[in-house]
Amino acid sequence: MNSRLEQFINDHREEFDGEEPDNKVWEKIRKQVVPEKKKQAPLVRLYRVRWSAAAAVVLLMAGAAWYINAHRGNGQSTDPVIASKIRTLRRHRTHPTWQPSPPTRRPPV
Amino acid sequence: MNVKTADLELTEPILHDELVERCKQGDARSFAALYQKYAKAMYNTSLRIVNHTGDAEDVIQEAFTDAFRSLEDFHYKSTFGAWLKKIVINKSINQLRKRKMDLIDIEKTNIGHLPEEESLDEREIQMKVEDIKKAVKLLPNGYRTVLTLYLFEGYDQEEIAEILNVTHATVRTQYMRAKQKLLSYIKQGALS
Repeated sequence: MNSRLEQFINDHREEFDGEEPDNKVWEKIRKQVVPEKKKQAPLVRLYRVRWSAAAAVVLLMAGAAWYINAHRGNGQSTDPVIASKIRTLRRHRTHPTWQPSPPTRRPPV
Repeated sequence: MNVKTADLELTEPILHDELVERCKQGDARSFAALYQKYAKAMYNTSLRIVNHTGDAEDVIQEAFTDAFRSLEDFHYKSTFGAWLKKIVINKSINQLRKRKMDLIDIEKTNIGHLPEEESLDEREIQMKVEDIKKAVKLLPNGYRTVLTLYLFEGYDQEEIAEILNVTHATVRTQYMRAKQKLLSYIKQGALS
């Protein structure tokens, strides 16, 4: 029963599927299938957990950066008083015998 | 006939398992991808049966929704495409029945009686895709359903008999007459 008509349709099968459904069809399917409340709930919760985890990491990093900058900065604090104190302390640390006030101790002649 | 279709369907599961599996896990993007993959073919299949764009859109909307919701019932006994197509075809036939359209046109045509001897010689007929498309649309519902399931969707006559819940002999007669009518329309340039 392999007639010419059957052969022709087989050979041109793709060309017979030329029509397109309207985009609203997918929208309707999506509304019914994808956002089912029951299935959505755990997803939302998961996202919330992920967001708070991300926020915690960001906060921790910001805090650490601030801490390092304030306490272990290279004497580059924007506050001049603090900056000079840091410099003094550092000099003191590298030369423990050095005193900031010369009158208390004179170098040997 | 339809060797091509059969070959394609045999190789498909290897390609599509993962997408279907991701849908089974409820992944929204995979649902969209699966729809995009099959929407056009399913829409054209339905349109050839129901012969009405709005009805065909309703059919594929329901078919995809049902399929996505019952994915756990899909166990790769066939390809996903073949499984979905069966749903689309059943819904298309139900749509015709809903509109109280007769699915068996034999009685009607017996009155007009189209003698077998008069059958058209296919070799004399110029085949054009557009003419065939128009001719299919002109067929009565029962003829059109049997003819498109056989010629375009690759079902054999036993399977069509099962889908329509009629005998194999009925399908065979319906198909022969549908084809004759189709050829006569094509010969007239689909009455354009």
